[in-house]
Amino acid sequence: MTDHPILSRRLFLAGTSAAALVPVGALAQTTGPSRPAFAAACRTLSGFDTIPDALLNGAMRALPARTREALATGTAEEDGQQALLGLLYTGMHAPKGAESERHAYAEALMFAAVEDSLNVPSYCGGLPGYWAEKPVGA
Amino acid sequence: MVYTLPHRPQLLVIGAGIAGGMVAHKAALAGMRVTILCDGPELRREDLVDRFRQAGAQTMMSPYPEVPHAPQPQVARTDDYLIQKGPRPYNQQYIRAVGGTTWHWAAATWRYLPNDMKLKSRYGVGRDWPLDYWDIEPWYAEAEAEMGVAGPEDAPFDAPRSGPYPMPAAPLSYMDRVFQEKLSALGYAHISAPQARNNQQVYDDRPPCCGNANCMPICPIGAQYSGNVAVEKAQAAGAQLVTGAVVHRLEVGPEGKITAARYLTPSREEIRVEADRFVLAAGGIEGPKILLMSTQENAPDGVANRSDMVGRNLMDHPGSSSSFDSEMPLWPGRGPNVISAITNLRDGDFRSEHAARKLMILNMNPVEGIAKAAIDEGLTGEALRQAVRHRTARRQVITAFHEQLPDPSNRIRPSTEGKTDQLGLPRPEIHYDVDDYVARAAKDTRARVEEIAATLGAAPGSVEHNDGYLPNNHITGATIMGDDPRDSVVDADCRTHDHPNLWISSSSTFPSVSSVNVTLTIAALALRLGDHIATEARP
Repeated sequence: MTDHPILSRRLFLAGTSAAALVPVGALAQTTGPSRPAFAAACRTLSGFDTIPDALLNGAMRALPARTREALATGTAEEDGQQALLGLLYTGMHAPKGAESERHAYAEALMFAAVEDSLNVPSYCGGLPGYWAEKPVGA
Repeated sequence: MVYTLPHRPQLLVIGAGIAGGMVAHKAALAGMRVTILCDGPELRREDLVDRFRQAGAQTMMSPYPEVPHAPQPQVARTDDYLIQKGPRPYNQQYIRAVGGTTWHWAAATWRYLPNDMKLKSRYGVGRDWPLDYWDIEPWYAEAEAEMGVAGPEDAPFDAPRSGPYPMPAAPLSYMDRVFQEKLSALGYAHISAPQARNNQQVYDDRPPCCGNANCMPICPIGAQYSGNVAVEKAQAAGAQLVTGAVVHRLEVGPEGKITAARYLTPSREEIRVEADRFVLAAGGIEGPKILLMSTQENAPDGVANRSDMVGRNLMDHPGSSSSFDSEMPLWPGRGPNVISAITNLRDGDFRSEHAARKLMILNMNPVEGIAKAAIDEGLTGEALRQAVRHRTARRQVITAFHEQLPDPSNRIRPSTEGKTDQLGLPRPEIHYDVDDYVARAAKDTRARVEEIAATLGAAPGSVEHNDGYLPNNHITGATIMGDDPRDSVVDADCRTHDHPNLWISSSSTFPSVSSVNVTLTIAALALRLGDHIATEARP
């Protein structure tokens, strides 16, 4: 039985499936704060030191420039913060009254928050029967 | 213009789910010329997994393509196809594709208990089956071998068996083990659930489960059995499969035999297939709808419907779901979606008063709902991250299936208001209610869950229960089985009383829904039926 099969899986995922979900050229259309400034806001608000590219790109594409600017400067309303956090944590942008759009799946931060104990659904969790072991976080 | 196929099979199977697939496989192995008609498309597992991962909202139906000619109820808007006439909604999902609804199930493969088939004579409620448990026990065993069932030996309130399960039970998760300790102290029988999922071994050329935690809506690796396997085996044995064939009419000859089935293609061409024998295996709603659409001179109220029972006695397992936070981190979501169940409420004298039940400890990853709720609360930063982690480790869900009795007023019929699908066929119209027999049990279920939650350290008053009843997609009863042609549709062999060459293979034949998942019983009856037809057809 491997010790941390889930961590290995996430390492593998970095830089693979995420890119496939973002249309080429979409990022060039965005304006607003610089990428580093916006990424810093994402880190602060989410509680994660690293934001996967798929999520950062998705947030830059999905959120209006003025919302991103407000987030980057710490002046965003709660609605703007929640829209960003919803996307970062779930991989989905789900504006009220509009169709939801997925920007990432396995890279979503909600999975990273529990990755020492739970695998991302649909990805193999480890050797057959691994689930009988006591989770790392238990 | 109707085109009659020049090909005449000895057996025409309408429907390509587990029921149709297993009947067809048996008959084809016996050398019969078999054709299978499927309304929907063939599916590829890898496509389904991609669709799941890329779906906007990940639901039980999100992996499955919607095809205009074979609409299927969706999770968020079941009334787009099913017409809900109430008073309660019958919010079921089913998949119209090769393989059918076992693409998205938890592979729970429970046998009925002997008493599940004797409700009337034993408890004075519901109906008896015209079969005894031991009549189908060998077919249960064959179905388990065919599907690859892993289950516990000599477990309490599991059905009696003539031999061992094909595989030993899947190991309990840490969460299940903690529950087991607490539940045992409370006097419950808590056992490993029998499941058609390969447990730590290759079985039937399918891989062992590696805990993808995604049995519902799609097992990504095929460790879990699905009905397409039966169809593929039938094809390998010589059966022909036609997809995009939406059967809408069965023709009745002057002597009462079925002479042909008619289907529409996606482009509305009408095709007629003559055959010697017919098996309707189109599921619990589409199947009875086909019979009721087939009104004609020799069947003025529809095919197989002299009893007026076609479409009636619609049942499900009215479900409950209760959630709470345990004191200790147990981490639901490791391994298969459901690994264990409480079984001692499956049978007892109480069934004369209220419904039998099976309670399950859900083992699905709850993190998405928890993350959304924490964000909605306004949490940010490290507090958000820690709240998501803390709550996910502790969020427990206990679900229950309640046994519903057959009631002729619960029914499906073709739209009475002229509402049609894209092929111009009437949509299913559902009248449905749940009576006090279930309500009394559901109330008791809640009290029991409250006690269990308290034992696990849940704060007083913190248990959240669902409103009403949750659907479980166990669509049963609408072509009910019985000895009396005046109040049933098929006999103990699943042959329609009215037509000697028409059989029905579906949970729609079940006289009782019991408190357990219905698929293994569907499979056992399908294998028995396939053997019966092959024997009868033998020169």
